[in-house]
Parts: sequence; structure tokens; C-alpha cells
Amino acid sequence: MDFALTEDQETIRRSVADLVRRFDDHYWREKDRGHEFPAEFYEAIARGGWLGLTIPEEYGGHGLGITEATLLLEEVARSGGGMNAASAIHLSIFGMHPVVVHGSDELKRRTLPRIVSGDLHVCFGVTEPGAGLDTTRITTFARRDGDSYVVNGRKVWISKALESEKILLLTRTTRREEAARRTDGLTLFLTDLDRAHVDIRPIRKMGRNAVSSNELFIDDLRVPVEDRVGEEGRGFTYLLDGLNPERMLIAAEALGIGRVALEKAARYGTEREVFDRPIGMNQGIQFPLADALARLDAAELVLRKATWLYDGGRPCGREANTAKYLCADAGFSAADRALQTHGGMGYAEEYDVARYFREARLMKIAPVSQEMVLNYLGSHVLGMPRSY
Amino acid sequence: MQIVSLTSEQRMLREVVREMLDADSGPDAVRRSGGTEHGFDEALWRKAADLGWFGLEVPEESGGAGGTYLETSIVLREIGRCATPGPYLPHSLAVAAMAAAPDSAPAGRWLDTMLSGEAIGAVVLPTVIADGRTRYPVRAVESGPDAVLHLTGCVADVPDLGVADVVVVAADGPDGPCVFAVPAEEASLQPEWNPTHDRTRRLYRLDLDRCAVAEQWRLAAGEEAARLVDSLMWRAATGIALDGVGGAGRVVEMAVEHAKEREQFGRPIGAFQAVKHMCADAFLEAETARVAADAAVMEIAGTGPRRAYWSSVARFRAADAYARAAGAALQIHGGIGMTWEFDLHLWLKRAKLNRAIFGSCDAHRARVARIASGAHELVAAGEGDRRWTSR
Ligand SMILES: Cc1cc2nc3c(=O)[nH]c(=O)nc-3n(C[C@H](O)[C@H](O)[C@H](O)COP(=O)(O)OP(=O)(O)OC[C@H]3O[C@@H](n4cnc5c(N)ncnc54)[C@H](O)[C@@H]3O)c2cc1C
Repeated sequence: MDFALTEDQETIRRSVADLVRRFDDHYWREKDRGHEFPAEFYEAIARGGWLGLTIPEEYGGHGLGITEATLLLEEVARSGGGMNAASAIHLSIFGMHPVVVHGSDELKRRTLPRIVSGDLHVCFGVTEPGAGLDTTRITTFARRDGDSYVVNGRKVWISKALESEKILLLTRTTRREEAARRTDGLTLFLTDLDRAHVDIRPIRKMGRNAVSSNELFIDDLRVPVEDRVGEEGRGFTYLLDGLNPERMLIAAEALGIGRVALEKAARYGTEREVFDRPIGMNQGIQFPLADALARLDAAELVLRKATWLYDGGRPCGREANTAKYLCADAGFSAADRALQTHGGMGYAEEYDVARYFREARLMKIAPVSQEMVLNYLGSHVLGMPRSY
Repeated sequence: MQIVSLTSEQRMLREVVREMLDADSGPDAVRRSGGTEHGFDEALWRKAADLGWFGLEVPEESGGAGGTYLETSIVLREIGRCATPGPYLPHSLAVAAMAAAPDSAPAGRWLDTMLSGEAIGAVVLPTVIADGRTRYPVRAVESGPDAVLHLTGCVADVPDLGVADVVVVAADGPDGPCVFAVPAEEASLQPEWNPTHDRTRRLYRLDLDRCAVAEQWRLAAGEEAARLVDSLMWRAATGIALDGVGGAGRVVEMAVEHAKEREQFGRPIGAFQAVKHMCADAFLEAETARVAADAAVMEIAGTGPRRAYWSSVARFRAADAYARAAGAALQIHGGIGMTWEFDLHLWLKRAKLNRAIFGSCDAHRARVARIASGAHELVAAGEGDRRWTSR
């Protein structure tokens, strides 16, 4: 057993940390407050060549694995950029996975190099008002019409849609009732988010405000057949391929936020004096932080194991889900305790822990809720009857 | 919701009960009596009977003290405080059944001897199942040419059945619920002791295989039976809650005492916030449990409309709190808490068992959810929430 990162991985970690140090808490505080996409940060990441980290070399990327991708996003979140920073690049880093694996060569040549250069912004459209975690219930429909499809429907929560040129869009091409299995009949596209046919309305939300999340009203959007990813009707299985790595990325982001929140809290607890001594001298302050550290460290280990398994081509569903579950929990509780440690100042935007808190909460819900992870572990790992 | 405020008589009752149990049911006595053949101290039982503990709420004309459930609750709580072994709770339920049974019923035959402690009662009640509904493990079916009623069914975890002289059995009959007082000498009543780690209490399993019902066993049928069964289930749930409130209060006291006395690193361990806060949390657990149990007691004593709700809330809240408080107390005691000689485990084990008898904590939680969500409609207040027996 070897717990050490390779030299290259260490280098990645250090270089990313160096690069993102320029974007300090002040930067993120302002972007969050102004609901403004962090273009300068995105540019810097693109120019550093990081967006192509996992894209195959033939399309201009580095062809590295999920281990490297999680190290990257963990550092990005940990820099204080939190989810604002992570979400700005999340999809470019690994979201193209279904296209890389199942897309046509033409589609890949047309899109992947532009992802790497940072020129192409993409968003991911799965969730609908009537279909949250129960994905197969989506109703956005793509009707074949000659050499193209005509799409109608509604999506909700689509992050970065406002800023994106294209969308990785999940649709139905056969209605659920008419499909042999409920997972059949879904089709995935990577296509232009044509504003003439898609009305995009940002949702006001409690945090991560530098990156929008939107409602999409899709009205007769014409999608050329060339924009289809893989075969018609198999979109759901293509998504499944990407679920485990996605969970690992989210876990890494949660971990990064937890780490930065904890660092801030430990510093504040040591410096702030009340009743003539540092507040951190109270076990009531110190122990929850020590506990948060232990939880983050344990969660990190599962995450490392999960990415190691995935990169080695081994089954990793159990570890990916566990990593998401533990990291989301550890990240949030670290942020919560950091806020408590700061007392009233924790509530002030100036100290940033309130921002971490708002953002850390998200990973317990999206892209998959803690409850769904337990469903997975209960039925797929423990072999208990499916409860839903 | 009303908060319990005791009258001076009730306070006096509590003091007398506490004094007597402190003297006769200390940890040594608990260990000793728990290990005897019947698992309880018979001398203490007789004393309790002489002091009138069993008839506190039985009307005076029937030989009781004419009080309310509040008085009974005081005794049950003190018994929980000392983790006293013995059939006190089931007996109190059986007495309540006899006292509430309509005059025509042959309950009178039992009541006097039960009040004097000569006859011990036990109960076989329907269970609250995982989804919060009620299920009768025993059925009364008519069979044979004369359509005689027979009791059939298998019940687990019946407290103190082995020492009972009479068993109040609630059954699902051909025309709805019915309640019988089955004498222990009945041949088909063969309780099987199911040993648990809690030495202060005995649980039994009962297999009833076509046990023919004698006419003089009938306690209640129809509407009356439905009401009686409900009220017994509320009392059972609340009784476990009271045991937990007493026990939780006691283990918190023990923990606080120890935290003040034991010194490490040059000061009492209670000076360490982690220990101090654990004590405070355990205290909070015990207090919230007490409030919930008080609410249930007041509802039952005053035949309030929310007896079903509060008895289930009290049941899971107190049983959970007791187990958590005992767990915290164990942590605070460090190594000594793990020893056999130290008494804390008596309470801890009782606390664990409390979570499982007369319905699990989760089942009662599910029941509360059913009530809160209106899954069970309540009938007019005058009739109480009788529909709780709906199957
Ligand atoms: C800020 C933000 C950004 C997002 N970005 C995107 C995006 O870019 N693209 C996209 O497609 N989606 C996005 N989402 C949507 C996100 O993926 C969904 O919110 C998530 O999948 C949960 O779905 P839901 O909100 O419909 O919850 P529901 O499915 O309605 O679930 C509600 C609650 O019920 C619980 N629940 C549901 N079913 C079960 C069950 N069987 N067992 C136990 N509990 C259950 C859930 O755990 C949850 O607590 C985003 C969401 C947010 C908040």
C-alpha cells in the first residue's frame, strides 16, 4: 500500500496552488456579491493548460486521470475560491467524459480542442422540474425530423447556462411509457444553446453566486444529427459512465472547502481573545475543529482510494459514493464549525466563512443527494431490497 | 400541553416512594433480586402493596385510593430511577384493565387480590409495528360445533409473564377487539423465558395454540374493548417513558457526581469542557424526555384528546434519551464504568432494553408521523381516539 502522490501529482498540486493564489478571498467575495462569472480566473486556468487535464492528447489535452483532476479541483476550492471557482471549470475538467468515450470523431474534433483552449463554455442539462434524482422521468423531448431533431421541454438548475455556448443535453427520444426499460429511450446531445429557441432565466439562490444556475425553456430547438452523442436511446448509459468520476470531483471540491474553512477557523481561534485568553483554549471550540480535521482526513482517504481504483480501471461505485457522502458531510460540518468559531464575525461576509458555509451545503444535495448515496450503498453494496 | 405540578400529597408520595426504594432497592439489592428465581424482591413487592402503590388510581369503592394516573406515574418513575426489578409496570397495566372493565365483567374476582399484591398481573397487548400501525399478535377465532372462541398466536418479549397469576390478553376477535383475563393456571399458557442482558427485567415468549376461552375470562368486547386496549397501549408506552425519565435522571446525577470528584491533570475532570458539555447534553436529553413524559401523563390523567400522540412521543423520546444519557455517563466514568463491580451497567442495559419493549422507538416514531400527518383520522373528541385500534 502506498499513500504517497507521485512526483507529477505533487507538482500538479503545487502549480495549481501557486496559480490560483492570485485569486484571493477578496476576488471571490466580490464575484459572489456581483453575481459575476470569474472570467479572469477561468482565463488563467485555461492559459495554464489545466482545462485539458483529462482530455485525450490527440485532441490537445493531457490525457491524465481522475486522480489528477480531483487534485486540481481540491486545490482550486481550497484556495478560497470554493464552489464559485470549481463550478466555473468543473464541466470542462471531466464533464466531457461521455463525449470522449461515446462521441463521434467529428464531434470530438469540433469541440474538445476548444474546451482545452477555454474558448468553448459548456453546461450540463439533466435536471427538470418534474425529474430531480429520478432522472428517467425527464420529459424534454427530441423529435427526429430529417437530418435533425426538434427539442421541446424544460430544464432547471442548469449551472453556467447563461455563460455557455453549448449544452450537453439529456432528452427523451422515446417516451418512458413506450420504452422497453425506463432507462431506454434517452438521448444525449452536445449542441448550441441557441438563444432564439432557449429562454434562460437565472434562479436566485443562497450561494455560489458567481456562477449562475438557470431555468431553461426550450422551444423548437433544432439540433443537427451530428450533435448527437453516440447512439439514439442510449444516453442514460452514457451518463452512468460519468457518474462515479463526477462524484469524486464533487467530493474533492467539498474537501477543499472544508480545508480552507478549517484553516481559517484554527487561525481565528488562536488569535481571537475573549475572557483574557484565546477562544481556542476552550475545548468547546478546539474539539469540534479537531474533530472536523479527523473527518476531513478520513474522507480524503476514501476519495484517494476511489480515484486510484477508477484510474486503474477497477470497479469503484462503492468508493465513489462513499467519498461523495463523507467529503460532503465533512466539508459542510467543517464550514459550519468554522462559522461557529467566528461567532458574530462568522456571519459577516468579510470573514468569508459564511460564503464557504453557503457553498459547502450544496454538495449534500447536488448533483446527487446524501440520501441517494445511502440508497446506492444499501441496495447495491449491502444487497438489501431497493427502498424506492 | 400541561406541565405537571404536583400537589403536596403527590410530592409526599414521591418522597415516600423514593425513601423506600433508596433503602430497599439500592444497586446491591437490584443485583441480588435480579438474580433470584423469579427475578425480583418479593418482600419489597409486599411492602409496595401494603403502602397502596397498586391501587393509587383505583376508585375508593373498589378498594383503591381514588387518585389519577399522575400518582401511578410517580411510582413508575421512581422505580425507573432505581432500576428496580419486578413486574411493577405490567401489573399496573393489568390493574388498570381490571379497574376499567365494565361491571358485568368478572374482573372483580381479580382486583382485590391484585391490589393486595397476592396476585400478580401481566399483559399481552397488540404491538405498534414498523409503519406505526397496530397489530394484534393474538387472534380469537370461533371454532368447533358450538363456535367456542379460541386464542391463537405467538407473542414475543412479554415482560414478567413468568411470575403472573393472571394475564390480560387483548385479541383480535370475530367482531373486533376483545380482552380476556386468562388465569396463569390455564394449561395452554406456557411462557418461555427469553433471557436478555438486562438482569433487572424478564421477558417471555408465549405461544397460544387454540386455547379455549372460558366465559368467566371475558373482560371487555366491542367498543369497550377497543377503548380499553387503546388506553392500555398508551399506558404501556408512557410507563416505559417514565422508567426512562427516572433512569436518565439518575445516570446524569451519577455522571455529574463523578465528574466533580474524579481528578486528572490536577483538576476535576468536570473542569474539562468536553466532559462538562457531555454532562450538560445528557441533562438536556433527560429534561426533554421528562417534558414529553409529563405531557403524556397529563393527557392520560385528564383523558385528553392527544393521548395517543403524546404517549408515543414520550415513549421514543424518553427511551432514546435514557440510552444516550447512560452512554454519556459511561464515557464520563472512563475505565471504571466498564467494570462489573461498578453499577452503571445496570441502568445502561435497562435503557437499551427499554428501546425495544412495547414497540420499538422507530415504530412509535412512525406512529407519531401517522398521527401528525393525519393518516389516522381521529373521531370526535368525546370518543377519544379510538380509531387507533384500526388494523
Ligand atoms: C446550485 C445547484 C446547481 C445545480 N446544477 C445543475 C446542473 O448544472 N445541471 C443539472 O442537470 N442539475 C443541476 N442541479 C440539480 C441537482 O442535480 C438536483 O437538485 C439534485 O439532483 C436533486 O434533485 P431535486 O432537487 O429535484 O431533488 P428531489 O429529487 O426532488 O429530492 C428532494 C429530496 O428528497 C430526497 N429523495 C428523493 N428520492 C429519494 C429516495 N428514493 N430515497 C430517499 N430520499 C429521496 C432527496 O434526497 C432530497 O433530499 C443543480 C442544483 C443546484 C442546487
